[in-house]
Amino acid sequence: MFIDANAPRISLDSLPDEILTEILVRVPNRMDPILSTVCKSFRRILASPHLRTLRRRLKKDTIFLMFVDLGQADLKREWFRIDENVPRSLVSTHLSVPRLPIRCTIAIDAEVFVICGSSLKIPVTVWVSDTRTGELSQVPDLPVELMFRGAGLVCNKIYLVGADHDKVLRAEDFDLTSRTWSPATPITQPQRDWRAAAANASIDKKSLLFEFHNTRLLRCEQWVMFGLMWYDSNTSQWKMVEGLSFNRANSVAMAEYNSMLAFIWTEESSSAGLKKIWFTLISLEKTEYGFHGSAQPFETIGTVPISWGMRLCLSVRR
Amino acid sequence: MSKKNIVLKSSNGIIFEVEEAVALQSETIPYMIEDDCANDTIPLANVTGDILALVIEYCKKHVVVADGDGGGSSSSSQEDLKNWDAQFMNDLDQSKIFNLLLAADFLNIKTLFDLTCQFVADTMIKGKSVEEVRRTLNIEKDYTSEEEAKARQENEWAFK
Repeated sequence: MFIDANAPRISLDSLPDEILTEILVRVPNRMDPILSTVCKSFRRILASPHLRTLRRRLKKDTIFLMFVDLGQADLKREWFRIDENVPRSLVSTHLSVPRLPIRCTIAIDAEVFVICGSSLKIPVTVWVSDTRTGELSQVPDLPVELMFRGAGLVCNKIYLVGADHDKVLRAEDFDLTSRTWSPATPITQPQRDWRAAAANASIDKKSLLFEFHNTRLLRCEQWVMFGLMWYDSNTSQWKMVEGLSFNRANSVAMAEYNSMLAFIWTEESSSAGLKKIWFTLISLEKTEYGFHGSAQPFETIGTVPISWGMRLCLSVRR
Repeated sequence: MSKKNIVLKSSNGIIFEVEEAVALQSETIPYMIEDDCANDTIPLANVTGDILALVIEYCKKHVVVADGDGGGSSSSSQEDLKNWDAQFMNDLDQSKIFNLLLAADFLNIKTLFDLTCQFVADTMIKGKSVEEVRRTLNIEKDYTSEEEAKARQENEWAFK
């Protein structure tokens, strides 16, 4: 008797929901809005709380931190990654970035896009540092000369906002698949000066900002932490994330990390000449009113010399 | 110590004899060995011969040689293994990939399951438009026009 040795032809539709979920978990969440409109089963899976749980368990992200030695004239850069073994710790590492003033970095999967250029003399250039190979390359030049104002990632495109020679705000987008620039929808009203952000990260379609509030009016010269805020694009308002309380922190970095928010800050230690690096993970849940955050116990992950400033925090997926 | 072999039988009756260490990358097979009498052939009713051949090819490549020197795999061999994995997946057509995914799930081979899911995510979904995803994966649009318009509207910010 002849037996067909080959497996039947099957398509994605015939895979059970659990397997489809395991596939979608491994697609970066920036694709969620696109995938939600593909078909009903994608939409159902992407909206399920189970997907978030699985994304947190996947643990494919690594955090890189860059410090700059402000005590040295050449502003030496020092790189660390956070080792996830218990207890978490800082491990010295290296990441290739250009020796240019860095305006902004965007980590996308295993690549880090580095946007360089000072406002006037050095034009904006965009570089890609590949964390798998250690290679640094430059993406094609921007089609227009812009003075940098801000940049961000939406779905499969990096949006770069800048002012042209007539100080008119313009935006260009860089398609990650085709690796080309094209003009983006013109910006009518700038929401705010993006550079004012002390730290920012984006989770669940909303941008989050760790906001500082200058309390000079209260005759206090110190920068006092205001809290973790999120931007409600429906009402164009910044709102507080409920449920969190932090002590004063004067240098903060954030990054989306295994579908949670990694929150890192420094504190001058009582022992001379050192700075403690603190770490926590915040999980954010949507509520009727906005977001509720719950933080894991704070932990110190290492110390650095007091003259070092924390400048970059990147979450890389490998 | 002599190496023990295990005999696997695909759903369409094809016999594969493999070393125990190769087969034990599956977390399902040990239970089948316990349930059946040892030394007997293990029937895999859900896996056809062509797919089982692929699974075994993968498991042979990934078998950890426990030779007791405790050295583990060096970083260069890790790199080689990654390249081998990429080539292995690249040579398969879509239907084979989905069948392999089902087999890795049934046999509970975690690294193969992860590799296959990640390959589908990276090559068939990531960075594609709605229409491209539908075309690549042969998904029929099950939204009505109104429903699709509503879904797009909810995610409008992403389509500008």
